[in-house]
Amino acid sequence: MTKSYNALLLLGVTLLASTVAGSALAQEGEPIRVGVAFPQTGAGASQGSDTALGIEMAIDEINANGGLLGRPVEMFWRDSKGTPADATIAARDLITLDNVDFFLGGYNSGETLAMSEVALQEEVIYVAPVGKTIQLTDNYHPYQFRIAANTNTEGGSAALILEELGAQKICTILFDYAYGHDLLKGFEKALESAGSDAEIVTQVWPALGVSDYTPYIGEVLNSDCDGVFSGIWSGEFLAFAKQASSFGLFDMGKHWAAAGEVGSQDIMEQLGADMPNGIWTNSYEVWYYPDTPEHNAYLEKVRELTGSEHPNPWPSVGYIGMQALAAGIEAAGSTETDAVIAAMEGLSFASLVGELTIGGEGDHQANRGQYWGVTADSEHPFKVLDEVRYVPADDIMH
Amino acid sequence: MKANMQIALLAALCLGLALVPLSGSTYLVYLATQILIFILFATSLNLLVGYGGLISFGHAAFFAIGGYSNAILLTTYGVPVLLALPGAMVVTAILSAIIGFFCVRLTAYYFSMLTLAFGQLVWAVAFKWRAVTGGDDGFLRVAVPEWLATPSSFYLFSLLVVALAVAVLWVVAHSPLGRTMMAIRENETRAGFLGVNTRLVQLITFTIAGTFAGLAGGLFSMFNRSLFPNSAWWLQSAEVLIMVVLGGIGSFFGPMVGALALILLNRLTLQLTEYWPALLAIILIVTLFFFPNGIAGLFGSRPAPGLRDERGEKSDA
Repeated sequence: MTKSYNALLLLGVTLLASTVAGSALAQEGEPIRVGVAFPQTGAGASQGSDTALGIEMAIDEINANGGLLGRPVEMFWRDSKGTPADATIAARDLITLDNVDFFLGGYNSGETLAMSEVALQEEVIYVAPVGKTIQLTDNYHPYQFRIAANTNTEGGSAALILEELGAQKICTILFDYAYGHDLLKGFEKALESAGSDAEIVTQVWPALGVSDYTPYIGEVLNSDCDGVFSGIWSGEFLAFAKQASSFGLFDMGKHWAAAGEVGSQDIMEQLGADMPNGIWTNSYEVWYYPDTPEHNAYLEKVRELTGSEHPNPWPSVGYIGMQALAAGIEAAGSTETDAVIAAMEGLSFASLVGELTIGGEGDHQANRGQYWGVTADSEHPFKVLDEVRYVPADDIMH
Repeated sequence: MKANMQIALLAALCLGLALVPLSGSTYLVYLATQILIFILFATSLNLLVGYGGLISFGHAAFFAIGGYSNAILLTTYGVPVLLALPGAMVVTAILSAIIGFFCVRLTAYYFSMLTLAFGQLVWAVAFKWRAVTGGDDGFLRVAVPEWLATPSSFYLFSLLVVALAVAVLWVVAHSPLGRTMMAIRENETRAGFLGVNTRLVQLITFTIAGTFAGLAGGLFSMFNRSLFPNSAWWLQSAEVLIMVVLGGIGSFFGPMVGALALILLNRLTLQLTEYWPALLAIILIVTLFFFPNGIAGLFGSRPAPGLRDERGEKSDA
């Protein structure tokens, strides 16, 4: 219904060159318009749809409780298709056609950075709930806020875990592109600031999308490292784990910290019995931890909406992103851009994962940590994370 | 259509397009800018595919080279846009000539495969050369000058640049050089016997096509304020090739209509269905089987003479 309505609107605007822009001056009682841009098609479509679902859940809850500032919240969703150029189009359409007051979106780094450029150009507040690239903060501008953990936090928490496990000599297996190099930076920084005497002895850099990991596995096998830090993310880990298992790489007693959300429920289900036991890995959220009333209430809702007994973490990232934005609008007492920016700087808000605080001017990064745990057998046809803990971001995210 | 009538039509169209910002809709201005840039991109490829008969699967490489060159000149070196954009064209021209030097040595499928390979090579360079291009994180914060900062001013600037560029391409296509390209496309051996240096003409065609794709890329980098390696990826090359096929290979104006149609269809259908790729496939199959002359063919515009079975039939496209 909404889709065909949007299409009619688009058709009208396109063909008749009618002018919708400018009619969106927010008025009392009018809905607060929130734009959402994630992939609905292409790579990341299922994750994007689930993240948008989380945002929709949060908005429904807000509206059920009387809205924000006494105004209802309306959500507009556009397909970012998983590529930066299409993400730019989606963000611009949200702003110029749907007249949104704020927008959230971006599945991968490229999308996130491209949307942030649009936010700067259009001077509209953009909340990044998923993208982790440190480049977002390095290219800071006041209209962007990141509620996701960044690559410093992800690499850093892996370092802290390997340090705690007592790894002295470390091998790294990271994809040779921006994300891999950023993870290494976060990892090295955290090791140094923790005063660790562990050192990286072997670095292997598989190309993104490689199908044969044998030469890289060989190098790690031949190294005398006692700890491994890998950044082979989600789906790619499937092929890697199968090949590494056949060489017995996981059975050599090396401590293992696998970044890239391999502990995410969707990946655990894909890997099934091929997931090695005893490696530490992370996830945005897991459905079995923490066992708190807030988390359980959230999970019940996700189960209801998705029909999945074991929800994947994607709705949670959207949900928390929207919680941050809503808290900012409430604190500002207005939807005016500068007021909301000022209110969000240094703002602490209650989120699904406990209280989070957003960084001040020049930062705009929330202190979002990550869930880490060690893979173990479960009563289900997939593995779960054992000894789950929340690694706080405060000391490692910058 | 007579040549002077085509020019009059184009001039009227440009004047009409200059009025778009008066609508007051930023959405429309953005959409029109995007279409303009892809019109130039598709028209440049048409010179190669339609007039030169050289089917390139790597044309996006030059779009990306022009885009990155312009972004780097503007942002990294602070060169004014009126020098950066021509500078980006020079860089693209040089790289097109180098890549073309190898490509035109091969014919038919081998030419196409080599363009695909070079295209992916350019993508790999953009992806890996993080210090210069930003790698997968893209080139951000492209320094668009103050006077082009508003969507409307950038749109009018793009309109002027694209109109000039298309005019140059029109002159090239209708010059003796353009006719020679077509002669080679029809019968390379015969053209050779007539004393034409076929490889040189193909290299010139390749370089001109690449250079104007680079100009389109330069505009694109300022339009989006960011540029990512995806812009060199083969899917981008395929997309612009589809615009050419959809609009009508070899008809000078066909690919422009193709660019317009593809972008509008894409934007429109995405709101209705997530199955745009499937729909695109159906549109392409129908086009290829039933309307081989593309959208332009529907309106009586014939392809450049002798492109297909109507060989020898007089056409003044």
